[in-house]
Amino acid sequence: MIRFAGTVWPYLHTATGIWLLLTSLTVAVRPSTAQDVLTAPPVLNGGIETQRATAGFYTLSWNHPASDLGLRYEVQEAARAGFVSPRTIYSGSDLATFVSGKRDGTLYYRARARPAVSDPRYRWSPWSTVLAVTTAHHSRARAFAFLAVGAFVFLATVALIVVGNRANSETG
Amino acid sequence: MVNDPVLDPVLAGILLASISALWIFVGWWWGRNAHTVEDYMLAGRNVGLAVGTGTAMATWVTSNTTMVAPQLALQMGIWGMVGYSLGSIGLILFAPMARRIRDLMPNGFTSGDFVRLRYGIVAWRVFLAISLFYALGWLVSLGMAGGILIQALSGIPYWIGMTVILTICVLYTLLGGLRAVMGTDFMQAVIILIGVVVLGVLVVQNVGFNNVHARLAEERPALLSLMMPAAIMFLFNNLLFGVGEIFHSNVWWSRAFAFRQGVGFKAFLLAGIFWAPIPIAAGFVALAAPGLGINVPRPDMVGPLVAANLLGVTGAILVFLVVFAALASSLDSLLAATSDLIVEDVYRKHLRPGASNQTLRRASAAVILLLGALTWTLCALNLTTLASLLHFTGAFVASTIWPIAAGLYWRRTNAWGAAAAMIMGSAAGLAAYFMIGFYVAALVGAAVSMTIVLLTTWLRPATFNWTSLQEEGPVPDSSVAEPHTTGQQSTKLAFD
Amino acid sequence: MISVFQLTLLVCATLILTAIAPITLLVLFFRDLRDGTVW
Repeated sequence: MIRFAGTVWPYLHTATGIWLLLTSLTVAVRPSTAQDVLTAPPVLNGGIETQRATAGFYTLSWNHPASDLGLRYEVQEAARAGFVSPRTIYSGSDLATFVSGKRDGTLYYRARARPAVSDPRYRWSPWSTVLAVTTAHHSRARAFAFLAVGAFVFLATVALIVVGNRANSETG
Repeated sequence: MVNDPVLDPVLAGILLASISALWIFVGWWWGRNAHTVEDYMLAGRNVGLAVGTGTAMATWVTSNTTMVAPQLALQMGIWGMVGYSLGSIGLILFAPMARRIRDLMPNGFTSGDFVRLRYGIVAWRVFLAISLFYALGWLVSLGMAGGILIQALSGIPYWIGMTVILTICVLYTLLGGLRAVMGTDFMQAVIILIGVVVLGVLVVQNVGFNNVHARLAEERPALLSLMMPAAIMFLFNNLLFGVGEIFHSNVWWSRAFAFRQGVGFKAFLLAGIFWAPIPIAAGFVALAAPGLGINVPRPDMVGPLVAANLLGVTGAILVFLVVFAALASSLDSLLAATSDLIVEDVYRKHLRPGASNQTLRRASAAVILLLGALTWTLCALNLTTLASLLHFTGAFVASTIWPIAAGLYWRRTNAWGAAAAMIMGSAAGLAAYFMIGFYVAALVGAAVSMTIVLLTTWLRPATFNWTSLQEEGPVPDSSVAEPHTTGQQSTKLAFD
Repeated sequence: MISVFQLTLLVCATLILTAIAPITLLVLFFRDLRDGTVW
């Protein structure tokens, strides 16, 4: 704060000087606010279909109490809760991502945030609490049972129309 | 949650305004000779193959085809998009039925007419309830989709986009009747097809199959699997949902009545064949998203996101035009056909049996306006549950498949069996919807309904006389009522 | 899991069919126009 004020002091009698002082005060104030706030981690949650996804797809969404500062997020996915070899599945300023095509099993997710301004003083926030999502596809047996019923109804309908048509045109 | 709009709102506004002006002019131009009720509601019963095919195809391309197909591809992978394309089977199976319908009922107006004459009052009322419920659900989902999409693409607020689309469609449908609907449908069919091809080719050029496949295999392997259980369950459910929608809805029956003799079969067959690849092309655009490094926050926006990301403003305009064409071509058909159903089956048959041609013509116009207003009111509520109302109708419409099809070909199927099949099929399908999931509701509804039709036809066969389907049309304005039947066709109708 | 080749085949066939469609529609339309059978 003192550092900024020193440089503008000579110009304080002008409008420019006053403006410079005001902006420098604002800039001087912001870093510590951002640092304070980003000691809080983002909140990572899933939609209704998370926790136990029966078709391998779900939406992950996240937010941060200080999101109005313009934040960038990083979301990681790992096969184990310890995040031994994580994969970054998203990096950017969106607040959600749609995950799909997952096989049976449990995956773990965590997110963190930082202000979008590229300044070495602005570090990443701590990681959010871990979200575990288990994908458990319907059984194959059930799937094929429905497939069989559907196929039967479909073929019966086709037969009805084909036979009905033929009988109709024969007598016509 | 999402990025900036992909299309500048001013540009979008100009596009909307130009299309509105053009469509309304064209609607008025084509409709200026529609004086009789047959001209207005059924385009003079003389529509040719080109317009016939175009309208059947464009009407079946809804906002769902362009938005939900990509979403399904991203959710369920290969079978998701191929499964969606099986919706074309409904159109193809309706081809022989369209011919049969026109043969059996040369003076028919609506699907309701058929059910009433074939099965009597009770089944007719059950059928009308299902039809109107489905029609309203579809209308509202289209109106809401219009608002949502225009907002997502251009930032123009939901209620403005929704109002503009509904107003355009109501106006040109009102002014021009079925000719306006079909003419604009034809133009929209060409727009949709060209747009989808261009988008598909550009995606292939920009991403490449190897890249798409590699990214999917690495991050979303189940999407490439042909054994994904949810997708397998979804396959025939979607097919039967589509068949149910087409077999019962007056949108397709009115076309069967409006097409010239001999056109119906070819038009529906061609339309089905042309419609089938569209969900796959749209689905592929979605599957390219991971390969392009595009984040998808909401699965239903994946189509526009990829297009805009890849192609910038051109892509955004293309998506905007394709989606608008898809929406308008379904909205106008639905407004016209539902108005026909209400005027013929509710107004004329329940309230004013002796109504003249002129009265009916005026009633049609009034009902279109009222339907538009009702749809607008429900859309204005902007309840997300309303947008998914259409999913809900799966059980109901699928329960009509066998009553309709058997009713057209078998004289033994009786009225109580048909009514019971529709009621029980709907109930069973609804139960399945809540207990298992949306992707089995139509399947269960169709299966239960079919079983009941088969059982009741076998246990209590009726002996229906096909000639009782031939009925006089409305009284012409200047003359006394005369039979309208154009030549006896009783030999053709004798069956088993 | 479907292969790259199968995916390519599926999508290419799809795009070709989709490209034929509007051409066919326009041909049919001009034929109807010539015969006076548009509507």
